[in-house]
Amino acid sequence: MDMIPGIDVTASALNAEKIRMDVVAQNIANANTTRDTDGHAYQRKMVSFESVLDATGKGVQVGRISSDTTPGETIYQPGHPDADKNGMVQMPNVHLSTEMVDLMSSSRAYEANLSVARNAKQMATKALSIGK
Amino acid sequence: MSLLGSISSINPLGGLNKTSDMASALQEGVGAMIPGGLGKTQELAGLTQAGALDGVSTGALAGAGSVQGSDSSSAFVNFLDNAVQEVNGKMNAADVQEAKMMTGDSSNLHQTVISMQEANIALSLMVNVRNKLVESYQELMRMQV
Repeated sequence: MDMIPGIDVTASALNAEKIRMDVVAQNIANANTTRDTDGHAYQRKMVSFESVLDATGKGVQVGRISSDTTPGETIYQPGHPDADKNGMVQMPNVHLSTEMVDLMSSSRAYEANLSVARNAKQMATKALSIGK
Repeated sequence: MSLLGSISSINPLGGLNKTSDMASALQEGVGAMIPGGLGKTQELAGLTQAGALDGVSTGALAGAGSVQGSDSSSAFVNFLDNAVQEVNGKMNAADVQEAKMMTGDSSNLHQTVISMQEANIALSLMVNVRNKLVESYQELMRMQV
């Protein structure tokens, strides 16, 4: 029984947006990581959402977190520890402008879902006051 | 009077460990209020229906009220029992979420707050149900014989 209308769907959206923001934070933090765990330069991660049928409606879940395969730029820096034999260093394909736009979009979506939750809670509280 | 005593013993502020006592007290309270008379059963169901149990599916209540025969009282009592179990479940879930947040297990702040809010509303609903029941009982007792 859903006490607050639509709260399960909203909670799933909040979860999904939070994960998206985590991924953006990870991308920005690794903007200069030339050596990832697999030995190559860090590849930017992307999040794709998919809808999932809930008891009360269609919620959101993170479908998959995939890597962006477009290569980043290569810089000529022979003294770098990760430079190859030509002195070129592969940099991550993270563009700060893209990440900042993703961050803004994600935080606005989070706030929108928060205001849905807040209004739904108010509706439920007002409904209880009918009986008083 | 033992009936009044059992109803006043339903104290929702008593905490989780009293919820099962609440359920059995509600059950025997309502069962005693409905001495099997068909007319009184329908009237009681009608009174509580007019009392507007919001947030709870009034369809179930309408169904319980319109069932003819001695089934009405047990259907209503079962309905109340389910409601109490639900409130207990929600409060337990909220507690679990809070414990996880305190120990740093869960990073979902919004989930914790939402669970607490749902438990709060469920408890308010339970208190309102109790108030309506007491009101209906008093209304019944005021009838001239």
